[in-house]
Amino acid sequence: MSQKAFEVFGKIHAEENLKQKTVSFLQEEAAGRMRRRYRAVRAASCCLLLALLFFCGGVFFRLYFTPVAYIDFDVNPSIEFCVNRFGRVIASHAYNDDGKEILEYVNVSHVNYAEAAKRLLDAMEQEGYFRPDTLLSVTVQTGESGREGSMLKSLQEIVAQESEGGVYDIPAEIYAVTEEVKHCAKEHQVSPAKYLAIEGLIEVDPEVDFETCKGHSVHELREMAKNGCVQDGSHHGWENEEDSQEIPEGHHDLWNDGDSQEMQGGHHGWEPGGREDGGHHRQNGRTEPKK
Amino acid sequence: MRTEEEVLRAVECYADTVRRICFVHLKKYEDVEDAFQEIFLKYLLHEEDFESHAHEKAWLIRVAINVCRDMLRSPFRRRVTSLEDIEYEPFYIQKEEGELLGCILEMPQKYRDVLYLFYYEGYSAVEIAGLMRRKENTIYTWLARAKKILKEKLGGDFIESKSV
Repeated sequence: MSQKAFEVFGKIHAEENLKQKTVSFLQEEAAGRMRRRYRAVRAASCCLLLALLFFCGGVFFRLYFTPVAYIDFDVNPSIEFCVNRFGRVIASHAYNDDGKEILEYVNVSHVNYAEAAKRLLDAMEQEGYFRPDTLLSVTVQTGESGREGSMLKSLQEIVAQESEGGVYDIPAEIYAVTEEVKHCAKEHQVSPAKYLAIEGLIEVDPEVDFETCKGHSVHELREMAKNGCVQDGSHHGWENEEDSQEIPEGHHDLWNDGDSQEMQGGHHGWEPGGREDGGHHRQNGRTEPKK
Repeated sequence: MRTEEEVLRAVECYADTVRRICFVHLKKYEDVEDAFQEIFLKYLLHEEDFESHAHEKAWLIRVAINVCRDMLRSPFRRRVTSLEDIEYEPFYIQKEEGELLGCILEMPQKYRDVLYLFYYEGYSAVEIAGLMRRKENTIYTWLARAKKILKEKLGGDFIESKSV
């Protein structure tokens, strides 16, 4: 016997049947694995898509529910709108009971701020808050000058349109306030317009109590400041009326110069002396104080 | 994963080699079938390229030996190849050849592998060491011991014609 004996291994061949079965098995296995891989890819894609949706949803939710502007209305109902970057009112708060009553039936949630303002003003008019001796104060606070300008313009147009349509006809002032004023007003739970009016009154009469003044309308506060008397009608007197009525910093009057460009972008000093008679008239679709 | 064409070619080229390794290790035909399929399944899933046909063949031989060993290690499949089982193999073996195969199949597994690879496949001891991931000296020792067993059982002049 020699090494050739090992050639007996050469007689061993893979049977055709075995090869066929193996090929069939491998084809099925390959197809199955492709299917599983496809399923895995599909499942992974779905998960990725879901994650993306959640992420985008989260981002959108955050963007949507982050206020970037505040609009405050003060007639005597005193109301604040929180406006998101899409111009929708995401929250509304009342500073007083009159405001709460109005908000109970006026739906402004997730409505464009212009439409919301219109609804609110209509409701106030219907409730009889717009009397000849009232003043509609609308303030806008936002950190973006472009947005501030467009919001002021839009609110002016709404007030002007409604006034022209005869829906209501009361003096109105629409202006921007700084973040600082808004913050201080918020701390005192009053609208910025009322806060500035009270501040103006305190300058005239330092003994005035902030809490006591909160119940008065902006118009009343201005009148008191103008007359130098508080509640009891006592005169606190000032030598020079104009000097004594300087308005706190951060108040931006839209009506003093009537320049819409400045109204939209600038923060101006407020001069209540310009409204001594409390009356206003409309010019070119805008409500402006009488000169 | 390899393409169907690659797998078909590999089955056609290396089916006999793989079958022989299965024969050397496994007793039952069902086990051979399972091992055969598993070896080519590993080939199907092996994504690295081979440098040459020789490399591809060596890879398949190593995988085949490992798969067969794993099957034998499995407690569910622990079976020993014996001379009697050769009769069930579907090929004709002469008596003299049967004696040799019987003697080889009775040896420990490692000796069977080195004898088959050395004498039939023609690999050198160095190449077998690479295939089996063993030291060269181990392969020399195994070969020497396997030859000694064959000499004792089958006669002194049995495997003189090839040096390691």
